[in-house]
Amino acid sequence: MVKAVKGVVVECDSAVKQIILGLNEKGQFIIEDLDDTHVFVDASCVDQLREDIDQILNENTYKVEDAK
Amino acid sequence: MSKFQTSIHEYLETLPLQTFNRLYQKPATCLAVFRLLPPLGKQIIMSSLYVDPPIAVSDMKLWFKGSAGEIKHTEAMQRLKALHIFEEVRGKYAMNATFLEQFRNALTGGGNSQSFGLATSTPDKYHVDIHFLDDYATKQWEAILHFMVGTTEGRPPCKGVLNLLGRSGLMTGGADNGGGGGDQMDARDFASQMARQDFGVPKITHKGFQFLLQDINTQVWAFLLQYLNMAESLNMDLVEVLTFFFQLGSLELGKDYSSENLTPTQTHLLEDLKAYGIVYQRKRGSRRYYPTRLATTLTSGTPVMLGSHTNATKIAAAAAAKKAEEEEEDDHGFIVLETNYRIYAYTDSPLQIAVLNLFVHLRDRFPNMVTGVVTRDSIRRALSKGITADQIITYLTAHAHAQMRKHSPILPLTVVDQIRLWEIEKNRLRPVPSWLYSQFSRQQDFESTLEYASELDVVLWSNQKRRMLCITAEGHTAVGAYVRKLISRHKELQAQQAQQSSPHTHHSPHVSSVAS
Amino acid sequence: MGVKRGLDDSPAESQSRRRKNDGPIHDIDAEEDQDIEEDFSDKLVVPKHATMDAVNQSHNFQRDSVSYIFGDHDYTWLPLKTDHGSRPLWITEDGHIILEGFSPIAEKAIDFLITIAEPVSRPSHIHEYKLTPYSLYAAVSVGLETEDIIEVLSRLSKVPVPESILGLIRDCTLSYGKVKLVLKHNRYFVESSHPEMLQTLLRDPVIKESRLIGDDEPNNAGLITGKAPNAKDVVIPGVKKEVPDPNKAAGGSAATGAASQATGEDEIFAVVGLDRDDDDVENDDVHAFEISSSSVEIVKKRCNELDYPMLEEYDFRNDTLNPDLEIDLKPITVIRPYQEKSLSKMFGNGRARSGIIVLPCGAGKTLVGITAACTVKKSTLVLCTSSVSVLQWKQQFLLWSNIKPHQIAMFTSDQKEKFLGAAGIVISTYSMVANTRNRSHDSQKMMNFLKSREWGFLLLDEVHVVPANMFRKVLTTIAAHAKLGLTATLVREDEKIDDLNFLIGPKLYEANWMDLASRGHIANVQCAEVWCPMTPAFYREYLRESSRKRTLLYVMNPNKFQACQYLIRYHEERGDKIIVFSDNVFALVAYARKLEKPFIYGETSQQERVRILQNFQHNPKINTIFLSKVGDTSIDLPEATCLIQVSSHYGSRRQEAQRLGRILRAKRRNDEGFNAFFYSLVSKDTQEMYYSTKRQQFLIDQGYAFKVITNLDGMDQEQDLVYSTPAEQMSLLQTVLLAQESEADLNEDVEHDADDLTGNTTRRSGAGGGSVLSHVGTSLAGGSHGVKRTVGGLKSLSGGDQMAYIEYNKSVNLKDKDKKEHHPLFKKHYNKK
Repeated sequence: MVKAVKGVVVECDSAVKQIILGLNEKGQFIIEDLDDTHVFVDASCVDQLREDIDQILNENTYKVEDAK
Repeated sequence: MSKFQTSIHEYLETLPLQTFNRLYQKPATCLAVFRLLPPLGKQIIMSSLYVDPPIAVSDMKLWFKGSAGEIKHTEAMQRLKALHIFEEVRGKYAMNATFLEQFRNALTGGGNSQSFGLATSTPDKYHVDIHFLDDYATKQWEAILHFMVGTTEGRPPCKGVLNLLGRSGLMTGGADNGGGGGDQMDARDFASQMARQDFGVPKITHKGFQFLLQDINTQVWAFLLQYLNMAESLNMDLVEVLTFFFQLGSLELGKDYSSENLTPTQTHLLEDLKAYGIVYQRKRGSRRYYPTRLATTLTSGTPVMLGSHTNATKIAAAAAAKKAEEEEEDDHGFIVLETNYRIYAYTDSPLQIAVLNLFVHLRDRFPNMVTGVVTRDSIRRALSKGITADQIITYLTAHAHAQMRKHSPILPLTVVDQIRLWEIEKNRLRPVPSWLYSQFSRQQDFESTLEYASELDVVLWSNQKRRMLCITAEGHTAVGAYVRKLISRHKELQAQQAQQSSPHTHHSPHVSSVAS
Repeated sequence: MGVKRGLDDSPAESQSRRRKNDGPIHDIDAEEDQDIEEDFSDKLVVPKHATMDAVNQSHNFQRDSVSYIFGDHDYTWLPLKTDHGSRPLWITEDGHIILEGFSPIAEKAIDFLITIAEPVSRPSHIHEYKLTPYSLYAAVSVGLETEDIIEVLSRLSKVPVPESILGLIRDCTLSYGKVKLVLKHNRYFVESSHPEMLQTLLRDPVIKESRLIGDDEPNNAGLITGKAPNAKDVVIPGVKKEVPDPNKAAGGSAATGAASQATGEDEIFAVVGLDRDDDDVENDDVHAFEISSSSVEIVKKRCNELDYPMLEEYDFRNDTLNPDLEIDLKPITVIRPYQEKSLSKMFGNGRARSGIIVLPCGAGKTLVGITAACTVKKSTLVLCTSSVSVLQWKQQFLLWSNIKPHQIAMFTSDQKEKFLGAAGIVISTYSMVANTRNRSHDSQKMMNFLKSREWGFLLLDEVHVVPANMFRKVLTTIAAHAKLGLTATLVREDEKIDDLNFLIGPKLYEANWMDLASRGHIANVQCAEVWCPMTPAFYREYLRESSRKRTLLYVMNPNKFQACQYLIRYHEERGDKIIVFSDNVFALVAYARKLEKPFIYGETSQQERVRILQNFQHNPKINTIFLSKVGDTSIDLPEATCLIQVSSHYGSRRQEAQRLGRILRAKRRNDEGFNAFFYSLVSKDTQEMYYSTKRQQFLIDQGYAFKVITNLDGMDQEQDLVYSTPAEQMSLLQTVLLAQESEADLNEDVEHDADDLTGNTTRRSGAGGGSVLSHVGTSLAGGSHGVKRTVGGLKSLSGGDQMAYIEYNKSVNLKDKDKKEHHPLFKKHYNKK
């Protein structure tokens, strides 16, 4: 029987994909892992996901204004 | 919603012939439309103006040399046809009769001269000079722009202006109203929303930033065009409005005109245009009005250059208005962007500072210069407002200081790259609401569903092997129905097969039924 | 050594912890280090103004709609002067100076600003400087007076100088530099042209105690009075274009160096219309009292506490006790204008001022030091960071000056020489002199020799890398009259700089990198940061690891490997000589072996190092070498034209600048259109990105631009790159995961021998050097053919997403350098060095 699930398909590069997989280990929100650059997730988690990824990537950014 | 209509040409070209026939009844309108044309268009009209019989297309082509000329000719004629100045009838170009007559009148001073505005008969006791008018226009116009960038001093602009900003999508009022919502929203609602304190701060949109990057003339036209759109919904007569705009463009700066012979629509119009600084009237209902530079340059094609309402820049602006365009660019180049991401902007204009503040982390301010740094945060802040990296780069390039222009490329490549990279970085996660279809029991079902969905252009992702596909939220209804049909047919078929007990022939009829 | 730390430390915190051992000198064990540091911080008394910053006051002015953006930094209340267009700078209330680099008088304004303020950023159009108590201290020390500074600054500024800045200048300059410690006839005098200041000092019981009442006729105030020194008869050698007689010594005729400095300043003053009567200044009476040599340290400290920090000057021409050293520059040696300028700051008043000169790597710091030694003409002690440097200094002395070989001695773990005669030069390393433990008999004898004498001149190389405590040890052990510190990167956020100011002296001069590059004194460099995406497998592990393993994962990223291989290939084909840097030794060895290139790190023996370096310089078949951080400083390889960084020391701006310095002296820099290349390979979405941006800040403020390359054009079509199959990548990942945690430690490459960085005698037999060299050795033996130079089939190096890397006249790099190396016009520059 064909199944149709509502959610959000997230397209991203492979590094972000790895971060998403890592985050999923803490709170399960991935409905289906599609491929290296796509993942299908619960719609309610997208904002949080965006925030978490931003935070992780922010840690890798040196802010010039801090020093000045 | 996607493209911001700034050009009066684009607007006019959408109008039907009947509207043009009414518009062309006024000589001032004919002259204005003529003045807005590119040189080649003007030349064609002047050459044909006193040639009575229609000109054969082939004859007209002889005026142009070579293939480049051919292309130019086609372009020019296309525009003239779009404006219904010419029409092509049986291989000949015929000039619109109304246009022909009234344009001749405009040139010779014949016909009803009122379309060029009625000068007042008595001198004004409270006569104001050009200096005053420039000041007034700048103040009014900049108040609107200041409101857009969120640096309003004192009271916000009047209701009419707020309406226009909201309706045109230049600003967005609330969290739920992302840019395009303006069309559905009632104009009055938006104004009251914007005026209300608790509503939150209205924000500039992507479109609004694009608007800020334009020169004043384009900005004014964009505003007026938006006004036209609104006028239609308020049941104002489009032709009257347009005619008045074109009339304003033909008036003389520094002179006062009588408002007594204006139609009720035009009187209403005058009231609104005062708020934009396009005309000046000493007080409401006064019998005379003055066009400002914003009005008189509407159709002249010369840059307005009001700049800022400080003395230094205004004098420069007045001088710059007379200068040729390439020279004028230098006057307006005020930004130095260094390889270390620091920005030094030679400006005392609060408006320019406020625009910079949209994407620069500003630091020091001197009477004639501000300093700041382009940082990841400052750019991301701008990006989150919908301003694009391209817009920022265009703005910086357009306003680059003369010292910067000595180099090629004008802006430091590394900084430009970095701004783009920050934009790319912001879009690393691209979520799209959708439906995931899976567990197709048969490959054929999957394939036909995929084919169907592809035709509808609603597939976001698919995988043959895993028999999975993602469909946009919009496509779900159709694809869902298709799949249901597919399954029920399959069941019917199975039922038939069960009856006929012929298990090996069911595939091909099924597929063909889907394809039909 | 090697404090364990995870990358999850906040960068600021770990940075400060790291600082303790980031100097490449590791022979003092951690505990001792600690003690000295604490002890030291007690003793280092900074004058109170030095901690003061210009303060903001609130002003009443018309605020407008955008004032809120700037907060305290809205200076619209400072009125523009009517002729502001012809004045080049603005000044803020917190001491920031913003200079229009395109002003017609910019060059003169820069000369002035570099004297009174710290350069903050110097890109192409607009420069920024900052007034600090230290910079003003330095200004006073080279002879500027309070009112001169205020006057000139006011005249250059478009806006009035804020009151707070006037206050800062007065506070910092009125008492600074007015009192000098002068060593004359081997007696120490506290000297000043302001007798009332000396009276103030003498009221202090500690100073009073230290005073010696000598035979000199005291004047009625109880002070010795004399004439102020002047520069009339000091000659800085090498500044005259036609040096007719190299032996024309200090007693010679007109003072070129100092005089030219006076002219330079006059011009600035003339520009701004300030008349300064030099004679008046120079003929001022000076007053002094004598103190005992044993109490010098106490008096210095006391003066700092009283906020009258003493400048140290050495009146070497009147020093009759210490024998003269017969040394001068060779007649052919000519120094460059900026070298002359920096020296004129040192010898401006005819005495030798102690202080620091900052010149980019490759800009001829060594020659500045040698010229200074030739001016002082007394016994000189040179301290540097490694025994290779010691050797290089000796060679340079012999090259540029007429010193006799027997007058130069080296003191290293291998060499313990003394010079012959009454005066001479000793060259050693900081660690040899500072180390107090486990000295051999020979070393001890040598130390006694160094300690027993008075040194006219102490030359301190690479002062930025030496920990303050080591400095202190050196300075208390060695009796030196004048001290000159040399460095390329006085990275300003480094708190050590403050210590240096008071241990050695103020910064006398700091050159502008871009300016030197545009004049061809140092090479033009194209800098690029290459983003290497982590492979999904590596990134997955990276995200899981929370320890130092992360470092190893981002350094060993297969995509980085490939980028490195690709760039080496590309640049070798262009005819470049390439140095690849990796701080991480595990990665260094892995990369070098995989790519079949020779490498040098801490455990590589001296002979092997020499052999590899010589092959790199002369063998056309060896065009790439891998170096660990031992190559950061001091290894002088003018053949190198391309640098690739594979792993670096966290966010060290200094290391970035030092490494860039490795190619700034590229031999071919004056070939028209020549570019050197500096690449940092960075694994995307890792902590390395953070460090990389941070590292670049110093150079970016010097005007360098780092191009981000997101995609190496043509790499995807490249054949046989390493680790291109998933299986190879997996096995690499396994290797990394199995590696010891300690392998990830960037500080692992610690020298095991105490004394230096580039060579040692007690090599530990490890997996290192020998085995690698054996295979390289065979390839070395093979070729004596000329270098094959072909234009690479690759188009110009380009960035991702249509971001093209513009390189003008790239074919120049391919020019056959052996055949016709320089245009005759440029030959001169090469002699100048």
